[in-house]
Amino acid sequence: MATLCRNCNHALVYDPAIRKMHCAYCGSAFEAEEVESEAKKYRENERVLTRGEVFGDDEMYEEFLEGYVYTCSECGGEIVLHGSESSTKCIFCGNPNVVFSRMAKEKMPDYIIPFSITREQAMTSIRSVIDHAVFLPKELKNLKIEDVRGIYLPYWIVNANHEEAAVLQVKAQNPCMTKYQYVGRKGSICLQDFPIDGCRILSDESSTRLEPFDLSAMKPFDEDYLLGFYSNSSDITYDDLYLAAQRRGKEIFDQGTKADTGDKYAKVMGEVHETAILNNYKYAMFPVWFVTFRYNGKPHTILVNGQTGKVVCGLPWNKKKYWIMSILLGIAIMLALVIGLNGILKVLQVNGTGKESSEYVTARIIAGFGFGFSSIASICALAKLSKVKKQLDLTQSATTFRFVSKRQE
Amino acid sequence: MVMIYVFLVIFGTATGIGLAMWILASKLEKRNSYGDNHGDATLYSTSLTITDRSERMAPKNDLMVNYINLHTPQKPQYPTAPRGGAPVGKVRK
Repeated sequence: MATLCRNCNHALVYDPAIRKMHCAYCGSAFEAEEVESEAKKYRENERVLTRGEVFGDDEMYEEFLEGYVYTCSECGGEIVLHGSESSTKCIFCGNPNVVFSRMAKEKMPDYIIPFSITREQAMTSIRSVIDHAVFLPKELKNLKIEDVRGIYLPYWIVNANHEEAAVLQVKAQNPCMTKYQYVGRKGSICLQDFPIDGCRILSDESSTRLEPFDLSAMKPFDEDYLLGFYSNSSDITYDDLYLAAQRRGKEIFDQGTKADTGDKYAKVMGEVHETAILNNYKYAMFPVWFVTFRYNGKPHTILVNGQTGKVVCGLPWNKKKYWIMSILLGIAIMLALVIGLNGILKVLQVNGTGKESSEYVTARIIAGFGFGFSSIASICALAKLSKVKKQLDLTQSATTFRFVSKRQE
Repeated sequence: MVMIYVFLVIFGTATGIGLAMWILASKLEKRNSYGDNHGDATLYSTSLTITDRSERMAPKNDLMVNYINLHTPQKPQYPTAPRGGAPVGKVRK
């Protein structure tokens, strides 16, 4: 299952730094297209045992037994692969292994974007993100990044057409007559070479945030690019693919029509749509670095786009620190405002507007502005906090953490 | 005059804390949250073509239904990906 160096017969791995297959023992480097494993031909037809067949069926260990057992071509050790995994590392000798039989027979991708960000570059990006974070708990500031795994994720590249007609409620241009008016829009969207995540375990929201990938860097698929990395095959159905294309089409239509009406808060009152995926979809693998750690008993997974280095994460923050800082800064702003406004009021008094009735009016105006400003600022602050919380929830997803950490290291 | 000062302090406190919350939340959003999912439309050369615009429609439900019925997209006439089952990649010969 490993591709061996033709000079010294040791396992090769793909090195993103030189973008070639590299032998750590003799230092040789080859283009991925140059190397062809002898073992590949024989192992394509290899019979694979389930863990149940190897260790015996036992309902107690049903979850533990979910997976298939392969043999490492280097040391003969047993390699366990779960559901849709197609490349891994041997836990005994550490050599990279690609399940050729699974790749060749079940789901052979058309294209691959090889890793161009190295493990060290990914770690540096994450370190820089951690160093720049605010209100970060002390334990995280000194976090040692150790659990870093490079995983190729399956993507479907589709060409799709999305047509939609919708009625929108928009703010009236002349609000004296009526508050809202209703407009109709019909349009079509052509999704060309549009990537859709083919991995059910990783949430669509997380995978979308990793984008964009530069599709012009795609290469015809070669298993050797997987060496040294983990990978998953697609496990979604046509319906999942269709629903994902439809969702993305609808999002783009909504954004576009709202911009067209000039009211980005327009409300869709009714719509009808039709999405069609053309038959010429392609299957590809895209590189992602996953970094896992536990903090306060909660799992955290930081994602790094293996092609562009884009980091996707929400970092925890010390809430106590945030609120104390808000109050202190608030008091400082309050003092500045009171002193500033007091000066203005004194100027007004000198000018002879200090009657009692006008005092009430001034007090009312101040109260009104105070209420308005504080409400708007607080609502905006809460909206921002909820965005940060959402990103943190994605980072704390237990499913993503399990998806990464169940791989044998 | 006392009332004005009381309101001034209340105004200052409320606005101060609101503004402070907003400033720090913006900083938190910028520094602790990375990766967004906006800009789909511009990422992969997707383009929206609006083929029909109808302005100032009456806010009556039946007219909206009428618009939607009139503009319901047709089923595509070209070959599309099948539904059901799992999409597969090419099988090596």
